[in-house]
Amino acid sequence: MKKKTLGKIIKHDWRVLRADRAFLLVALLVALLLLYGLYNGAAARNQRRAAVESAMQSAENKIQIDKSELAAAEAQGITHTAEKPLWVAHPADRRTTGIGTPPSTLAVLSIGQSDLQPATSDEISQYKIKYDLFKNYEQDNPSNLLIGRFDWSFVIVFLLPLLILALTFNLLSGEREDGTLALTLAQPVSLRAVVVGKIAARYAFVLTFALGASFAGIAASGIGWNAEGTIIRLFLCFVAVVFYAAFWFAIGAFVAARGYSSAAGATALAGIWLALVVVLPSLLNVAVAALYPLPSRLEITNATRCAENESYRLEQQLLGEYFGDHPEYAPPEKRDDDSLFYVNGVVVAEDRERRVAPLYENFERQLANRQNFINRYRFASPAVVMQETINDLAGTGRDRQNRFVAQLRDYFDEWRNFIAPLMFKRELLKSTDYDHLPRFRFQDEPIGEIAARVLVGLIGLLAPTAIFGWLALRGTRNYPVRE
Amino acid sequence: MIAIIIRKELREMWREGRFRAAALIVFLLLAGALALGVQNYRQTTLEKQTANEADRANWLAQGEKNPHLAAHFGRYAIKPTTALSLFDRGVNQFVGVAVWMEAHLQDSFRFRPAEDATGVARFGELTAATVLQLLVPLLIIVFAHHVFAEERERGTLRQILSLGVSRRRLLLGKALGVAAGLALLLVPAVILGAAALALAASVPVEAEIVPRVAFLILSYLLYFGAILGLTMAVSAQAESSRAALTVLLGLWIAGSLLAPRLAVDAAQTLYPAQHYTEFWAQINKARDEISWRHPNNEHAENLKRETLARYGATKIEDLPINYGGLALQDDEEYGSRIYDQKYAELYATHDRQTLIQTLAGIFTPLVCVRSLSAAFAGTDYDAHRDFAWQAEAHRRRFVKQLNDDLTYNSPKNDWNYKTGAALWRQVPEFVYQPETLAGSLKRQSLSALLLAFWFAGAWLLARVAVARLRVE
Repeated sequence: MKKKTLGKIIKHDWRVLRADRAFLLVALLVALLLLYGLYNGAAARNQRRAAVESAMQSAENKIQIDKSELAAAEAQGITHTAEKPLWVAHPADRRTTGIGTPPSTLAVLSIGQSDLQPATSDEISQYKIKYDLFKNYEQDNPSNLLIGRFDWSFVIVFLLPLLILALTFNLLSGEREDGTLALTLAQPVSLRAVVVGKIAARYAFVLTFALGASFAGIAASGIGWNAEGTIIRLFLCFVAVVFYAAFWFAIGAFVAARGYSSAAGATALAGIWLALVVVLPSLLNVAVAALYPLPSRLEITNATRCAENESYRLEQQLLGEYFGDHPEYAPPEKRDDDSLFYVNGVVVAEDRERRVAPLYENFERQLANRQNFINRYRFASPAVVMQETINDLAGTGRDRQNRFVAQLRDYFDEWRNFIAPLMFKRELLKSTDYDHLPRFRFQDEPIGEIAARVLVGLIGLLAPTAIFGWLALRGTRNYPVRE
Repeated sequence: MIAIIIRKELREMWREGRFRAAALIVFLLLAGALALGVQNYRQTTLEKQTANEADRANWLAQGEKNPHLAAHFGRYAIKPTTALSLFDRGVNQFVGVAVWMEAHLQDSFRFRPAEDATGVARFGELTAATVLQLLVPLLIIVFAHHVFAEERERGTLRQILSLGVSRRRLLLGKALGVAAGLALLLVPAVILGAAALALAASVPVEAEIVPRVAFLILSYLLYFGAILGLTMAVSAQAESSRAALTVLLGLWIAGSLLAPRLAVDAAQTLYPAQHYTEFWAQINKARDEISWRHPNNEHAENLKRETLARYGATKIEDLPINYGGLALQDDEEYGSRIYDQKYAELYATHDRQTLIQTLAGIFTPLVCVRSLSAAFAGTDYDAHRDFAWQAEAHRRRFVKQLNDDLTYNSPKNDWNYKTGAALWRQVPEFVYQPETLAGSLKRQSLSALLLAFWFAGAWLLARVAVARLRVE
């Protein structure tokens, strides 16, 4: 008897919702906004991808040009000119530009931090230090960055809750104020069943068009279905939407069961939305900055420059020490030509890097502490959980960037270990050496690790949903059916 | 009569526990935001002062080296924090705090605070300005939306009007009543803000701080006035107070949440800016054309010819100056022309984008007040670009000074020429001249105009709505 009644309530409410033009209009609007958000995300991802791939291709072209020039010189028996000291590996070093990785294919879902983060490095060089890999990428219009973009994650995290709250604020109070609630409850149906039925109908309603519109938009945005992990990531994303929507429906039911008037209910829900989506995240920010203050980047920069002065002063001494440690590289006779100039550069850079490494590592430790704090306390706001989850799955959050930087550093070492010995030994660079130049290829995180992180977040969404849902059902016991 | 209406509105608001609670929460958020602003201001000011001293020390401790190498080492120009940034941080989190002034390159500013923040920072910052811009309008909406509708529903509207109170007086009285309730929150907040400013910023960087504060207060009063007028209008026209609330909340969502982002989208679609990789690829390509690595370098040949002619010599070795230094300075100036052109293009695109965002002020007053607030606080993009422009001018000057030393003071053609702290000390320190208030005002004239229109329009609407007010 109970199940049939519930089914009837759900069907009835579904029909009422479908017939209500206002609801349909709002539903259509949100579906359109989801599609619009995906369009924006796709445009941003495509622009970024085109720029990065172009930079990477152009870097590869330069390597090929150098290789063919060197091959032509070899064919003519030229080994050394004043302008092209071919016997040191220096020229190859000038070609380490455009080292990067294009955005992940699901970046259409969320612009995240990708509008702030550099995607390519031109600073891989044995004359530089591996902690300072990015330069001159910070030139976007800051007003745009401040306000943010209208992407799919914005609609889901900020606007979908508003729609859900709009659908639930007068769940019971509407009928009560119209006078029909008492009539409905005169039937052999419990208030609890009414609440569950109405919520279920609305939940199904919202999920149908939200996920439907999202899927259509994502399919149209040209994602690489065959790319590793894409389908799992998309699936997890949709599951997150299902959980997130459930949370807001639980909140709506909870407030509805308190027995407020429609206007008071609307106000209360607006307040809750504001608190969870606007105020709490900024308070989290404040907490993070207070508990984990970052060392000053200016201080690190000045310390690096101070180290540069030191290394420069000790140059000759450093060179002597280096050749002492690596006698196989020491020049056979005293040479006063360009080759020592380049070798100087390498030795000085390594010394500088050694001196400043603790500063950078300390800074990055503090950055990691901040992120760990957020990971732990994001559960205070489901909006934060949802945003971080989407960014993670879309590959536009901190995790992917940190991974990218770590792999760039490894590549930096690989490059230095390849080139420096060639330079020190003053080996003749051959055109065939260009085929063995270390190349960078970004390895994305195994999908299992991402999925594990995301699942923790989803469980974190589930807990408050269950609590508020239970409180809502309990509240129906004392609900004032008449005004 | 008006005074009676005001007192009644005020008393009703005050009696509502929810109003007292909400006003208290907003006040606490304001106070917290101001405290954070003061702490942030103190911390960054100290950091920057230390950094400036360290940068000068590094510059002087370079030892003996070729002056061109010193130009490569360069100096850092560090943008000072304005005192009013404790109230409104504007775009500060999204612009770099310092720029490396080095030879050959007009770099971007480095160390944008947002890059070191977690992803949660993109939800929005807690500053006094954001609380005023986003939360106070909600407060107005929630506590004034029922002002006319509820009276009508209760039946007291008919009674009041039958007493001979003109509708105009009624509107004025009720509006002033709500305003008085708000003043209970805002006046202490302003006092707190002024105290914070006086305490924290004894030597403000920006000029004319008192007029700036005055203009800030005026802007926010116009903004709150416009919101209040709209609320009154909707309250008078709506069928019920519930409908009024729904409409107003919908307008708040549209105006605060949707419109600014849609404007950013429109701006970036209509006037897309180049990706930084393309920007620098084009600059490098243009600069490479006169590089010694470029074959058939006409520019280099011309320079050689001209210089030889100028000094009446036939070979480079016979010149009385160091040709290397001259060529370096020539390369620098060639580069400067390229930078001027490319950065002008970039900034023009940004200006067009900003114009689109300003025009969004036609649809929402939030955009107007945000723009004005950041401009008066000296934390808008224009203030940043002004600093960037002055730093670049300084860079070109001191690089030329160093190159000239190599050209004219070194023994002929001696690449091993070295000089030391005697020259480094001669390079002047960079002194930043902050923008005048008049300059900011001129640039913000469109936003100011739009805000004034919003204020006038809202009250016109309210007058019309109240004139047509249905008694039941």
